[in-house]
Amino acid sequence: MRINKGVTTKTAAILIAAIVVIAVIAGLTIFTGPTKPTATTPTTTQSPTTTPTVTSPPTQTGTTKDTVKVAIGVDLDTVDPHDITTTMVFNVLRHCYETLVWVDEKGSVIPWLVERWEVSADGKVYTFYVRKDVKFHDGTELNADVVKANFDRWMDPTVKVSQRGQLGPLSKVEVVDKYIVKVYLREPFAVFLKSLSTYLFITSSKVIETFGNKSITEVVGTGPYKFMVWEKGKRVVLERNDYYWGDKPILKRVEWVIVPEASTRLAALLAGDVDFAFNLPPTDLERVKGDPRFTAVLPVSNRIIFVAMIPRGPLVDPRVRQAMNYAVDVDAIINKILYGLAIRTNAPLPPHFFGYHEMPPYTYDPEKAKKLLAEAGYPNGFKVVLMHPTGRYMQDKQVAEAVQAYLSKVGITVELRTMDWPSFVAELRKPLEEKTYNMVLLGWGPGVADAHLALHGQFHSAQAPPRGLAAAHYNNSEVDKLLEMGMSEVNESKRVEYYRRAIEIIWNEAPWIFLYTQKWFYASSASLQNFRVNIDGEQVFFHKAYFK
Amino acid sequence: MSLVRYLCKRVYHSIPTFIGALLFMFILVRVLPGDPARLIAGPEALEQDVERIREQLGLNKPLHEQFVDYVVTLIRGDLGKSIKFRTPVINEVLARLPYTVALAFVAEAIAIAVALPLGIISALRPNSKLTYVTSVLSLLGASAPTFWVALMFIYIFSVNLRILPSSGADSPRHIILPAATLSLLLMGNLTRITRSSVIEALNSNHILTAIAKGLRERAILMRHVLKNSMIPIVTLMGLQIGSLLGGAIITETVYAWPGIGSLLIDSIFFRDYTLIQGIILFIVLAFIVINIVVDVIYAFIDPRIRDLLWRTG
Repeated sequence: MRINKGVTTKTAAILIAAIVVIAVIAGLTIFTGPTKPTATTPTTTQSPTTTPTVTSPPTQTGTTKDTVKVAIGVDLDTVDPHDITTTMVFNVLRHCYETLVWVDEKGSVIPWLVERWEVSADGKVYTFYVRKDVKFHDGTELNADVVKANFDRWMDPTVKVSQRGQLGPLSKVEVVDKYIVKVYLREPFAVFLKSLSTYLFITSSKVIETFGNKSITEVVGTGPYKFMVWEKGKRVVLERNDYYWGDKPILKRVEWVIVPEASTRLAALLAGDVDFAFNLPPTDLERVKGDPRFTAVLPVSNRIIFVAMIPRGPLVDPRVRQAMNYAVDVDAIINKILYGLAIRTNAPLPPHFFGYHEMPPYTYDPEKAKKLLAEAGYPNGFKVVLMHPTGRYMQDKQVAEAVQAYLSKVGITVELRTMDWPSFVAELRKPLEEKTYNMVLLGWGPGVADAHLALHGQFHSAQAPPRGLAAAHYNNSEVDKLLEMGMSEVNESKRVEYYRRAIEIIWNEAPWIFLYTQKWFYASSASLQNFRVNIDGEQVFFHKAYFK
Repeated sequence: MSLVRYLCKRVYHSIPTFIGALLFMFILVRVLPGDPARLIAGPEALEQDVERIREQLGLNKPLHEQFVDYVVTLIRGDLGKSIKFRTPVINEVLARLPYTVALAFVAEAIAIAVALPLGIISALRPNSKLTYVTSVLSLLGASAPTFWVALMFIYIFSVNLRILPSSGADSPRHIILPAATLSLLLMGNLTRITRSSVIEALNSNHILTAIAKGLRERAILMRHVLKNSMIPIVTLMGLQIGSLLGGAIITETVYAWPGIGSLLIDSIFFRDYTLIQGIILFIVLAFIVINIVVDVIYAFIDPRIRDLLWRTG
């Protein structure tokens, strides 16, 4: 055994040194994070996404509350005005970017960046009269050329525009006058204006020239708030645009804090760290409702939840599919599993959608279900596989289990197949021959509240997988024709009529177990007033919000 | 210097591990069911749009072509662009890295500060009350679910006592709860390893010799016992830091701590192939480096290992 006196001290020194190094590294790394409130530091603030208009770093001084802090679950993935795919990202950036038209509380299209518009008799030419008093955050002016530049970039095949098809069959855009622009469509497209209000953010010509067909990383809009800081994975800070053309925003700053876990968002609200929180755990609904310090916000979403039945085996027979509808107690599911956070939908689309037509409900009646099954030749039931995602929709797994339990009461044995979302979508997209399940629990939430978007993607035969995601592989030539007419008809009352007929056929043939339209559970501190929940129920705007 | 030569040798030997891990990861993420283009566009998107995204991302090419593309860009030192964020992967990883490093080291430091003294004391006084309390607590710490502990901490310290922020990463105060949560996980093992290796060292012959020749207890403990029990402790610390650098997914998610772990879980949910590959590449790298560092520390602690590693070589 070697005894070396020097080593003892050396070992001790090394150990202490190691701990010191650990402490120093840790200290340094914390320091690179903004130790002072929202100081902009090179490591955390991604400079490309910060606008050059940053004059001073935002500070959180004073006790007068002029900042609203909003907890959201996902970070932005892009700020490119023409390549946004996530509703939450639209919501955040809608405070900075604006659209040509907008929808009011009732869902009607109203002028926004344009003063008015005209539609040609054949529905193929839209003439927009652009507002004359609007300036972008970079100081440039809005005019017909800018509008054309935005449309052109949207149509340019070399630019990544993930939702390009959503603006319909765009053909070309023509500047008529400094403030008049004409948009030509190849075919009439009934939801064109509503789609404009949802998808086409307008940025300045300067930005479009600078970035060309590359992804835009600089936020220059005309909106009431300017994009100041984006700290990835942490927060997005918007600051009031004092030169806004419309009603001036009241609060100086909107800070979107990224908190992925729903329970933590609730805790952050309860602790007073944030003033508004999106998507909270439904289990805590009563607790928030019972607390006078908070207001529960429960808007009806754009998302309808259903069980699509694949027409094979016993499920080919409409009587069997109707029996499935009678067998499931939707009201009980809503009250007991979803804590009331849904509304029963007696049509294959949410009730606030244009073209909604209410049908007589499939009231819970297991006896009638059994009778229908016996008529169809299945008095002893049969066996099916129900595929469902987990963690995607509110209480999705529990809802699938409830459907399983209800169907077992009328003799149908259901085997559940649980999947994570990406695997679930991959499975959904398989062609009919490759599918190894009979039913699928799915949600469908179009960005635009119109029957065309709700029905076409799920019931037009051309949308069946692998081409689309029409989960029930529904195929009815009359419905196909009605949906096509509804898509290209500009006359609203004719559209309502087409959709009414399509809905009647779909409802009676019952390719789905019709379940419910989901509600959201958001909450705000009671002192926060006058924020506006969008008609889609998904987005909340703080343009006019203030603290009491 | 021999140390330098040793390091070179170690780095050289790590190359196959590194390449193997990359290949494995490349194949594995693509074997997972799920289509990034469809996930980006959303289920309601039109098929023509999804197809265009697939083309733009190069996902419509055959797998071997994609791998060749990947390796070629990698050799140029380019990790590629994130599918979801459309930005260079390296930027995304570097933006999150400081947070993960800070969390890992602060958590480990807290764990060491608590576990080493506790382990030593419970080895020296096996029947004291403190020893019992320690072993129960370390068992609890190691077995309580992180998710639950994290939420409890938030409810106690943020919602009820209001002394610490609930989530985020704005100031040094924000690191306390996540680091404490993580350190609970680490402490249990660290205490037990310290205790058992101190006991083992206490029972060896040279300690008997030291006692026999009349050394003071303190000197025996510092000079002979601790030094000889350091190897397993350092090994465990290395492993712990290595895995913490891979991101503490649950802790980071619950506390909204913007580290590598929450980025990794996000990128897996989005099937962001390039980003997953970039993060895994970093994690593999971190593990390799930590392993080498631990081996070098061994050599400094124990001359026998030093001889074995490079003096003889």
